Amino acid sequence: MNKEIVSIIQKDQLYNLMLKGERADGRAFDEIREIKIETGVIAKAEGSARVEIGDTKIIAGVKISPGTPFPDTPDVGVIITSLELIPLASPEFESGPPRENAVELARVTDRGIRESGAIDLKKLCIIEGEKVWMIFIDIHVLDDGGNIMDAAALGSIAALLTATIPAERYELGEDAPLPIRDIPVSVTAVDIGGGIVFDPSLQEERVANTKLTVISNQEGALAGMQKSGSGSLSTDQINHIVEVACKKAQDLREKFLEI
Amino acid sequence: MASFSVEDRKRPGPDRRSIEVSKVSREALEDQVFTEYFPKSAIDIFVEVLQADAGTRTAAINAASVALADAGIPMRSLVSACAVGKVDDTLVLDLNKDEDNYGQADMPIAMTPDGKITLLQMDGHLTKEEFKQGLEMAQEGCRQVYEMQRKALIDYYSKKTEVLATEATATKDVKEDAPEEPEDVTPVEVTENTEDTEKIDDTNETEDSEKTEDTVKTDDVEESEDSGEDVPYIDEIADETDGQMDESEEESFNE
Repeated sequence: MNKEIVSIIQKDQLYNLMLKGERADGRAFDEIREIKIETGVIAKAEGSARVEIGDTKIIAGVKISPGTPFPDTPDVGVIITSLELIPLASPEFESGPPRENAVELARVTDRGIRESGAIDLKKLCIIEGEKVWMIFIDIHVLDDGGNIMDAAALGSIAALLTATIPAERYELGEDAPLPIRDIPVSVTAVDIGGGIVFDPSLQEERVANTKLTVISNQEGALAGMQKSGSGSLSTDQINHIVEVACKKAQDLREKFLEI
Repeated sequence: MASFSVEDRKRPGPDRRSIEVSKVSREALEDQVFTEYFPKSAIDIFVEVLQADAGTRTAAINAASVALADAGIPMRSLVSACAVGKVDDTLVLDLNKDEDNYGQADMPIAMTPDGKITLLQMDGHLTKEEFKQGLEMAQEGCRQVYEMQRKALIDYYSKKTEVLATEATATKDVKEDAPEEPEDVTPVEVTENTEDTEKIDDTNETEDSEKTEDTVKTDDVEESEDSGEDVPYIDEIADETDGQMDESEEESFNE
């Protein structure tokens, strides 16, 4: 994966600001950009949300339909998450099948929702071994302003919260909201020259070589984590990120639950 | 991943999981390799999972790290990986398949001996305290793995040099040279190594383009005729390429 070349001057500038304890856009190290969440933006989808974090814009749509469960889990519903980095979102993105980056983002988003038990998948079983509800979460990145990860995670849970199971359409009972029992929130930080900044902008993301995403749930416990990028992190850095990320996630959740 | 490596046959070829595992594994190793010594070139690492019993990415990283060292590619340090998980509310090291499937959390990490963490993933449910404790456990696991990796390399190369040393004393009968020679073998020169990797790539390519194995063989001969001084190293290459050829032979039969 080719990172776009960052001019050395720009890189130097960011490092130097870093040493002074500043960021290019004047934010504090643990300050997250302004977030806007709008739900129900696509009427055709069973649930949808548009999320903006600073310049980053994504849209998440949820489609739900009955399908066959996986043979090893016959009594639970299926979640399939995919993420499209569409070409108009960044000069770096190209059309075609998802590359590494998109696959990683989709899989981490998926893990955050699935492994945290955010949705009670057992309740999505219609006939054991034969028919279950399948939830398709599709995330389209409309504009890459950095930190797509958090936007994607936020968008997918927001879309799920507003989604209804279209049971009437398939003559399988009454429409119902999804059985959601937890709200995982992802918070990402990057390491720039030893300093940890949260919610990286595109510029910061490009300069940094290590990124850590922490997904936490309502109890403040961890529901998923992913280190990305070729650099390394120390134990102290990791613990710091986890600590701050859980706190930030709680703030976001409070904002979120008002929807 | 081999299609027979898992319970339900996996469709051959990379899936989304493999793509992600490859990405994080590469990133776990990349920082430790002196990639700046290899401008305009790529180091390909191929890992084939033959049987999956959880911990494939940690095993892959451990193996790849030792293989890189064996190939003589300069690295800052080895990378060791180990997973920690939660089963029945208890933190355990290195999950197996059942523990992974029915456990509550899985957290693979990779780190260097000096404690730099190059891979960290987690899924499931861990409290912050469990996470901290788990991280320490996994680091201890990595340390154990590191010792094994180190031992494997030392054992292999000391055996190799022993044989060479006896050969050298037998043929050349030079007293001083014999003990020194082993040391020459371990820090392999970079230039030679690029050749080495290229050679291996070549064999793969020839296989693809359906050239006969004879071409590969001639390569081999040229190599060994190269000249006398570095005899031990060349022997090694010959061994490796031989192995490579056997494999390609088998594969062409299958086709």
